[in-house]
Amino acid sequence: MSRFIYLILLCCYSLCAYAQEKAYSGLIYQAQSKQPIEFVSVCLLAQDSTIIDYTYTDSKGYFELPKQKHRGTLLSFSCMGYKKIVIPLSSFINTSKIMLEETAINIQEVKISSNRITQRKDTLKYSVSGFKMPQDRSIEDVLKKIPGIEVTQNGQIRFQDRPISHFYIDGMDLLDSKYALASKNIPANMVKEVQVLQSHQPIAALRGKSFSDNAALNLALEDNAKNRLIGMIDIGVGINNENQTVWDNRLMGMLFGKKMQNLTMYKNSNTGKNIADEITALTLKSDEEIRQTGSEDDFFSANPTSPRGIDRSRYLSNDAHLAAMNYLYKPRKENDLRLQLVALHDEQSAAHETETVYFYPSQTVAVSEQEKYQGIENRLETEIAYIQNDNNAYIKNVLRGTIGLHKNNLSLFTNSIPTYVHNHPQQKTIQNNFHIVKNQRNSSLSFYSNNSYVELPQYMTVTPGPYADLLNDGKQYDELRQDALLRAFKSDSYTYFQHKVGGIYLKYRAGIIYENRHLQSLLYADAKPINDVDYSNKVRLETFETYIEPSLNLKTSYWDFQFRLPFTYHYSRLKKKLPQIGRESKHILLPTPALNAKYNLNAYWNISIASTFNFLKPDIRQLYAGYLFDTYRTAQSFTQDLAYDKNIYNRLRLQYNNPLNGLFINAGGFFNQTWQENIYIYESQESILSISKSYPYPNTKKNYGGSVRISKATGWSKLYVAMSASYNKMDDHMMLENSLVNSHLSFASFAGNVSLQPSRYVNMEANTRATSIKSQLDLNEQAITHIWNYEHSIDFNLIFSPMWRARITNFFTHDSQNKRITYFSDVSCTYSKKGWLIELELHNLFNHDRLNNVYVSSWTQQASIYSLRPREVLLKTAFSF
Amino acid sequence: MKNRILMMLFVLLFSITAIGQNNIPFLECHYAEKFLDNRLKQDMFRQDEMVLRISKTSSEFFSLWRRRRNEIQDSILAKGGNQADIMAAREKIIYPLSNQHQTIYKNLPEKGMLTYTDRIFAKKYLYTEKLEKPQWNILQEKKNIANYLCQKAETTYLGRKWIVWFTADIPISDGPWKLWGLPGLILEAADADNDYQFSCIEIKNITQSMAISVPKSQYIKCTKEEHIKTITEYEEDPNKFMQRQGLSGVFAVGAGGKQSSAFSEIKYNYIEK
Repeated sequence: MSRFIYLILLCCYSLCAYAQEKAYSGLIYQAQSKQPIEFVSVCLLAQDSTIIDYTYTDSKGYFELPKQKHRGTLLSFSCMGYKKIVIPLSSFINTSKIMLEETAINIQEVKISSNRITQRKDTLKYSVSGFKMPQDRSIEDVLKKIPGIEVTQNGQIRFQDRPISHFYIDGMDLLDSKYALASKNIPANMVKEVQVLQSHQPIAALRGKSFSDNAALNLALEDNAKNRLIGMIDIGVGINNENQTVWDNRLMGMLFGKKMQNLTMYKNSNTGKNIADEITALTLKSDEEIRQTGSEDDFFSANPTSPRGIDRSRYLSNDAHLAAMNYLYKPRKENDLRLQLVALHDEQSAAHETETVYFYPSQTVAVSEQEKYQGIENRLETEIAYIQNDNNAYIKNVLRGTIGLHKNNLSLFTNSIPTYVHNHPQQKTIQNNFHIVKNQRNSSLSFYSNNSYVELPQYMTVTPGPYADLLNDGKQYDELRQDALLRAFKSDSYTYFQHKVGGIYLKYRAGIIYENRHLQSLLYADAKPINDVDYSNKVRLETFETYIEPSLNLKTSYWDFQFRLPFTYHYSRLKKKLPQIGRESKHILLPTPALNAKYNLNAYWNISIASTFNFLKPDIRQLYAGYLFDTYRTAQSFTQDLAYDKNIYNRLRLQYNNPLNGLFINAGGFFNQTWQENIYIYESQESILSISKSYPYPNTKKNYGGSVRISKATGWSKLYVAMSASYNKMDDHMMLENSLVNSHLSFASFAGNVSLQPSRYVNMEANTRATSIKSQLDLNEQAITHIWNYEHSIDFNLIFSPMWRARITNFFTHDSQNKRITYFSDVSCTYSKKGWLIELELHNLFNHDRLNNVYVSSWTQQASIYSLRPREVLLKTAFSF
Repeated sequence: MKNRILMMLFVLLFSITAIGQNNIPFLECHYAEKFLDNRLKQDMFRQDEMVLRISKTSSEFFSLWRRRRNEIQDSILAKGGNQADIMAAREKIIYPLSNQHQTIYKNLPEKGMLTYTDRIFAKKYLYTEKLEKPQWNILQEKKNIANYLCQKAETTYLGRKWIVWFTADIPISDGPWKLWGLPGLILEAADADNDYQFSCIEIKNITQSMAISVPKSQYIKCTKEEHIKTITEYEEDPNKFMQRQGLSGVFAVGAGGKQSSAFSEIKYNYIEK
């Protein structure tokens, strides 16, 4: 019996032994502490130390490595921080304990520089010949091949995923943002080298002090390619429903020379659109300059009355010609001299009918007008710019002058009485912007000075002479003439500097503004001045302002905080000659803080508040006491007390966004209050004349409201849905005739937007908006006017192939007063191939001829009908030579 | 006896401090990364310098260029500086642009887990997943990389076939991106299509450093699939991506200054398939 047991035990033992023979196993301990070591790598090695197999010890220090037949001569045990042990397999005892000695971690350091990307140099240069293929026509084809450079379908050039900031040709920046004109048309064999300037800072004095993340591109031209002319022609011809020809053409030439570049353009069009729009991209612009374009409102309107939100090409008939020239001369590398001339001649006509109702306490006055507008706009703009850009300083001086000689005529039937109005709103301006940046050791100092002079010599004539009782002792007369003149000089200079306070940057802006404005007006009946001093003006307003504005900006991952506290001293002096002699002055010293803070509660929610307090400066256009007719049936005069109205503005907003499910919610409210020194008085005289005056009477105006917007982007057909609602209420005071009235004007709007892309060939977008305007006056009868305006649009984009595209847009508008719906539909179809394109455009497909529009203000209501341009078809093509 | 007790006390003390030191990195390995993230442009390779910082228990992997740029920018913005001050500081240490905002933390928050953080359009994302071990097949080939003798291994992991070179002389079971699990540090890795390539350019010891941890911030917690979907949409369809942020009507502006709704074609080639 015992023998039997002994045999079984032997079998078991050999079985176990056999099982154990399948793998190498053991335990690994620390030599000193006798603790098991986890994550020791145990490797089965060949004779030449090549690893055949491996495993790791577990938390108990135990490892098991399956045996491999005829493979492996060594076992290695290594772990970070311990001395490596390698033992021959033959001397390895299974299940044994291995002790590893601790050692200091000492990895041999290594540094390979050849593989490293060192882009220390700011410029990458590519020779064009290396990338050019025989079929490459324009430089754009070559640019597409250069590594890192990408040219998008619409001609935008990108480097490392960012659009380039500048496009230079031979170091000169002629085209500004319109470089596609060059890249698509400059022949490839004209360019010798393409240079990519990374981290490009166009202002040399700021290099090392500030730069942008965007790269710039410079094309170095071949020597024999200079002084070469490149031309582009765009022709568009069509016909409209009344069998009149319609055209839209552009002819452009570019000349590149060694030290100069020239771009000249001529456009003509009678499609109603504003052809001067395109010119703005060709002008020099910087952030500071955009601030300074000082323009004054005309006394008499230079443009036809326009319906809100509708493009002028719908209702304006015109014949426009535009010529522009841009000339750049570079005498030395650091200097730029640029000259630009723009001349515009535009003959326009439009027609509309309006019914305006004025709600007064004692009466309701209705004025109905049918107007035919005809105008000629002649405008000349010149600009000379000088730039000096070296490492010491950056100087830029831009001198700009414009002359506007407009003339327009209105043929009217007002309450069935024919009237003829002629306006002459001339404008002359000259402006100089100066900017200098000087490099100091650790920072830079900048100074700006802008000076401008504007002259508005304008007049208006009305035939036959109106308001005989009021103006001519009851006698009939032929012509009323209102002369008005404004001369305004303004000088605005400021500088920036900063210093560190308690580890935070505090920035300061300090400046001086001086203005001298003179206004003069006179009224004539049949060329004889109307002697009544109530109708003539001569005033001069001089203002002097100095300020220092410290500002603070802090941004952490939770907070985004901006605070500005300007301290302003403002002094104004009014010298009166007509209608009364007198002098008045007033001054104020006031801080006008502005706060903007945003707090991110978490990755989804954020809350922001903004609050500003400021004061409004006196304006000479509201400081003349004699009546001035700004249209043939409205006249204004004001009290001549200098006043500094004060204003406070507050806004609170809560925002939620979860980009994972595409839900976005934005809700907020605002509250503004203005403390006004004067109140406005409105009354009607002589049946159609509306008079407005002002009178010193302190009152407050309140404006408050809220809005909500919810949008969701889903994956199904790229559906995007957005809904929004907003409410805005204005509580104000005015005097109508002799009664003090509280007015409440409220706007509410509801809008929805849906966009969808069911396939890559079609995408569509639909919008709808309903706006309500309600006006309530606290008069005896509790007069309330309430209208609704509706707008809907639905657009389709069809992409048949990379060359064929079509677009259909539909726009509907109607309102609660008129049941009539106005409907615009436009269709366009484009075929474009490399280098040229053909486009067919149809405007106003269904040939609608009338557009209705209603408008409500505190005490008036206006319903208008505009005549629209008829249906037209245009065929456009563009090519270069 | 006394000596023995003293020694045990000493070892105990040592092991206690050792526990605290477990997350402090001691080694840094820099990789030059070359990758193709737009499948439609076969010759537009991007570059970056990636860093793997290794501690006893965890490691982090991130873009050096991106992190240095962010550090400079954040510290200046927190002091009230503006864009000009940021650029002035960056000019002194020029780091090229990198759009790889992600950081991969292996064995954080605990052993066997992976934490991935990324930043897409001003919002931070975070996901955690199980640290899956790749099934490596060790091959016989050997070569020298950075003065270390390396051996070749391959695996199919997360949708791509990876071919790597690791060195047993550095017995750290880690490597670039999410690759790990070999008996040595991976010094070179490339996928079979050569879309993503990592090669070691620097190894250095770290003496003084903060422990590796996921920084405290406001993250959008998501899953890996949601993250891949978001970044793919951000690259391929910016219009749709902007709609998710509540901004509609994003247009590309052409070189003529005019709006156009066409964005250039991108087929995003993410590292995981």
